[in-house]
Amino acid sequence: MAERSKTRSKIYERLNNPELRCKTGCGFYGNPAWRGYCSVCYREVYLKQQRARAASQSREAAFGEGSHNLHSEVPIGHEQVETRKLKFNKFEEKKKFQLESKKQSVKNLFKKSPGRSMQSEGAPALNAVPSLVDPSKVASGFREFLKTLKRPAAQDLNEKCKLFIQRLLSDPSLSVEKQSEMVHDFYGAMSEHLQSHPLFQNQPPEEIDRTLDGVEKHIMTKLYRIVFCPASTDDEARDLENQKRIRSFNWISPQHLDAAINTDDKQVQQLIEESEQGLIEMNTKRAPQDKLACVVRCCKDIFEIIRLSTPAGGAVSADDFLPCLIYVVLKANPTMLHSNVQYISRFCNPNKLMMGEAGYFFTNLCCALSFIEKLDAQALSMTQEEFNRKMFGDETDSSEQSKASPEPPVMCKGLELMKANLEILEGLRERQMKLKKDALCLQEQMTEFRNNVVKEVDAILAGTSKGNMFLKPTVTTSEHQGATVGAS
Amino acid sequence: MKIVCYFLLPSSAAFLTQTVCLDDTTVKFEIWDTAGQERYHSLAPMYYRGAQAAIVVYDITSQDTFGRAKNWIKELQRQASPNIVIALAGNKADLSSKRMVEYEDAQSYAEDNALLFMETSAKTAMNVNDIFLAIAKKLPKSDNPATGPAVNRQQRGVDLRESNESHSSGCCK
Repeated sequence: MAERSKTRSKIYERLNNPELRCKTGCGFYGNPAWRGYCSVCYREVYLKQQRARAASQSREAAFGEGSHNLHSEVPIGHEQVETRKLKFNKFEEKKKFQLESKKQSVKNLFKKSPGRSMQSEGAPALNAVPSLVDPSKVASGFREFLKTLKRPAAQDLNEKCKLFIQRLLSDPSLSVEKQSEMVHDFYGAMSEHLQSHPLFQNQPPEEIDRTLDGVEKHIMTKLYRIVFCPASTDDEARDLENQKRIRSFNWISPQHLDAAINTDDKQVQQLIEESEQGLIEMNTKRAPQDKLACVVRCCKDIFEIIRLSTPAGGAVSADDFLPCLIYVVLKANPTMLHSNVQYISRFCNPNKLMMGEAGYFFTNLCCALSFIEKLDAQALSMTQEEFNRKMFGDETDSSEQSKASPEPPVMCKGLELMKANLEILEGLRERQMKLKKDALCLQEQMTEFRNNVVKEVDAILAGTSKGNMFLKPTVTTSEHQGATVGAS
Repeated sequence: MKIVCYFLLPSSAAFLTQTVCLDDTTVKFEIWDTAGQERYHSLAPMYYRGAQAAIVVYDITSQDTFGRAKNWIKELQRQASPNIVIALAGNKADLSSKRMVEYEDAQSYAEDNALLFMETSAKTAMNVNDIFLAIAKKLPKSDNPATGPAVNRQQRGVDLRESNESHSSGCCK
């Protein structure tokens, strides 16, 4: 009894301990998990803190302050618990911060409204595209331009770009030639405008060129959707036609084109692949100068190919270069090559196409494409017969061909695969037929067996009913049937 | 450019730049090489479209190349921009012992067609700079009203030549 009252008094002692009560003095018990408050009071305190945080401007500052406030509220006895809590709170805060900033950037990505937000959109979108052509330089150059555009002094440039983009986007009746003319005029006007712009007064001419590049990239990225391969032209049809045509030229070797390529060399093979990659990648870029950069990269690789293939060395002339480029185009069969070439020649700054290395390489690409579009027997210095044979299989002398190989030559991998699949299907069908036949046979045998058994049983029954009266006929029958089932 | 020695060449000779000083201006030439093989002949207009000058090079040791150079000139006069400056260069002048095309023949042909004419040698660099200088002098000056010492006039030229013309010479293309 005495013990019981002792424990009870202990409990009372503990319950009456003021440290256990809610810190606000509301009379309820507090909990270390709620920082010594009761659940109701903690909620209030927590919400108040939240509001205070939201009101403060800088998230970082709020973060520091918040953790500081936390410290001041900590009763000295619960330090260990509190540090754990603190960490947890920090973590929450951080998570929230990350989440918010993520939301922000995602929102920025999707924000369509032109203006200030438009520039911040450009940079992340640019980063998302994997670029192999000196990515850091290109990206930073464009970002630099976007920064320039944001400056209050450059507000008029920004306005001009915006207006121009809207003018083109809002008028779907414009022909692509008219659009191209307008874009070229815009480049010209912009160039003149920049020369007299206060922002570029004491800048080197390179700075103006760089800004012009930025303008070009900026407006063409925006206009790309409506001006690349427009429905009003036959670009798409020609793309498809070219692609089909190039596919049918898969038999052309460097020798046919006078291209000095040593295809046995491992390094050369790798370079050929890289240069093909450059051409293929062109379709993934939007700005004309980025597409042009892909062409330049491809052509630089080709120079290297020729250098490696001609051990005698020496300078590479167009006699070697153009055939090699044609060969690479044939091998790569780049998607929408015609559309891309048209797009560049329509919307790239004309100065870039008529001058400089990039212009020369682009002209060569145009030549290669035009050569391929008109490619015939004469261009490969072979007879028409020979050309037809290569192009359309064995039309001219099928007898010789069929002697050499009874199977018609299979042209492409897809067909080869289809043929193999058909053969397999045929084999499967045969096997299935055989299986069906066997099954039918088995069924017949089973019926026969059953009939035989029934007959036998009948005969035995007939015999037993006369002579042996001990056997019960039903049992025998069921036994026999059981055996039949087992056998089947 | 075929008639520029190797030490002047960057990594590729298909595309070159050459700068000459004319009075107080520097003129920068861009030289676009064209493929000389017959099968690529039809593509040449794409190269000389927009060019302000063309140098047609033949080999003085081969009458055949001179004949083909004449065809090129005819084509340029017919198809290229009307104020294009055309220069005729008889290369391999250092091999005069094997000469097949007489200097006087080429000279009179050039005069008849109002061409610049020089015999050059890529090997000895004879007349290489001179022919560019002559072209620079002949180019229309209307496009550079603000000519000053610091202003670069950019000119684009195209180089047309027969593919079998200069391959035997060690130092030129």
